[in-house]
Amino acid sequence: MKVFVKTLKGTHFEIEVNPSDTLSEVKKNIETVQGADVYPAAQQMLIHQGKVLKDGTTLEENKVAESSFIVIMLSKTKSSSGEGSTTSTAPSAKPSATPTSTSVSTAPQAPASTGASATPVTAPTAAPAPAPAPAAPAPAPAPIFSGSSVRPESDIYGQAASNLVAGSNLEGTIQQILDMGGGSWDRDTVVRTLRAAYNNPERAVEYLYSGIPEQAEAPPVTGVPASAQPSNPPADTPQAAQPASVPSSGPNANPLDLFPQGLPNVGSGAAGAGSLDFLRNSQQFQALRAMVQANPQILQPMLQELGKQNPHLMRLIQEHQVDFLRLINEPVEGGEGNILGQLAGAMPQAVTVTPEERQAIERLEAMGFDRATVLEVYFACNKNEELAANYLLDHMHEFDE
Amino acid sequence: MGSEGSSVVVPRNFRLLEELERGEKGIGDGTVSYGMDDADDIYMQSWTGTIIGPPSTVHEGRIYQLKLFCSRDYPDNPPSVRFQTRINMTCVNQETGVVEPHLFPMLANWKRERTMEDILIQLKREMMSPQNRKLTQPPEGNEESRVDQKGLVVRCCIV
Repeated sequence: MKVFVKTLKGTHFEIEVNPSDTLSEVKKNIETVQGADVYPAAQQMLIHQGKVLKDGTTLEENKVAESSFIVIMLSKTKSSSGEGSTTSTAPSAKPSATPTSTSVSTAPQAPASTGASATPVTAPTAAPAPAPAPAAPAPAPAPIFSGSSVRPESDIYGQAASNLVAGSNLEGTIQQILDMGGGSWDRDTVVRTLRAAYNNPERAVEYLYSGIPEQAEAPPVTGVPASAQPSNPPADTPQAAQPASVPSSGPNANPLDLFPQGLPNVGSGAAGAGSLDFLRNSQQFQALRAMVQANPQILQPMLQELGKQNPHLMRLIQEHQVDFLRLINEPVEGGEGNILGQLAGAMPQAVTVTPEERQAIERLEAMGFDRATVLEVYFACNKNEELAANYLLDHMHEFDE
Repeated sequence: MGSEGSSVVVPRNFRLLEELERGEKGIGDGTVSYGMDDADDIYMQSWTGTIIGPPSTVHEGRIYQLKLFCSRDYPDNPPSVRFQTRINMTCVNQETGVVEPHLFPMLANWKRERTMEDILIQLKREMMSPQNRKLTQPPEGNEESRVDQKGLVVRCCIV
């Protein structure tokens, strides 16, 4: 809204203000419009309808309406005593007596001469009385975020724990994904998605955005107890016992697996490379290879057991030892050399099983055994449900350990 | 204008509303201004006025605030005028700031046609009179507490 400001010299001007403006802002507005030398904001005094407007109030509080008049004048802001004020005004009274008498003689020119005499008196009094600028409020000190100092410590412990389990590469990947998320993902979620994506960072980030697929959700659930075993010292005993139970399954599984193929192999003993190819496709050999890669020390005892059960195969392996070692050292599908690698190797098999085989696995699980053991025994028995069930029941106490 | 010839008597409220309108419009040179103390006062009794000290006098550069009280019989009787700012004048009581009617001719010889603006203008002229223009004035800028007619403590501060 517009407000008219009248001066003591008879002139007036307009300023644009808001009802919510404070008087301090209005004075700065007038200073901007008219100039700091004419009307300094610190010395302005505004009067509206007989009231001196105070700086802290707003125009609305003082009932200043649209197109209303405000009178402006400058204050001396002198803190000297009254005597000083009298002394300063007394000399000005004497020289002004002459203009007053002149104005009396010439009545029509009285206002002009009065205005002329007022100007020189007002100007010098305004100049020597500059009011000090109000002190700027001190900025509030920045708050100290103590939460941020605690968080790195917890991350350090988390990093130490992660290094023990998965190594520095995985930890670096987790940290990068956490930084990428900007705090939107917590650590457990990132770790879970990394497991679901087989430690593939790109797939893990994709899972974080779109959610973990149903098929990929199964491995982290089964992987948690498997990952807990290596870090737990008492778990070493079941891990040691488990490899020991596999060699005993060798003799039972080998006749069914190798005996039908043994006869044609004996006839074609000259073709060494061709004769070892059937081992690559054998489920038993894949399990044996995974076990040996996880724990190379059990290779010799298993070979001795194999020699007792199947001398022909043992002799064949000895004749082509280089090929056998190459087959043993081939990387397992899935990449991981840990128990998770076995699960990863078993998972592709589960994807390709027929509905009948899936139902057989489910029936074996319904007997009370966990899925990992059931899968391992089922494929070791060459997908023979009856044989796998007998084996699980005969060695139930070993799996419970 | 001769008041004897006029038989029309303007009611009190119409008169006060007219004065309020003039005060809001700011007619005049701006050295005197006035307005109602409380806009919600339906009787329009309490008013505030301001006089800017005339130049070439000891009052130059000062702003005097006054309180004017218009009773129910205004404008038949003059309002009571009291200075809130300390001032040394011949017609003003030093202790209370009240303008003495017997020393101020406009209040003593009150006429119905006079207005509060006329009172303020006349007081300003009184400041320029020979006996008042050189009187020593109290120190400026002092906060002073006065009790007005409603019993409220009103502080007038000119910085």
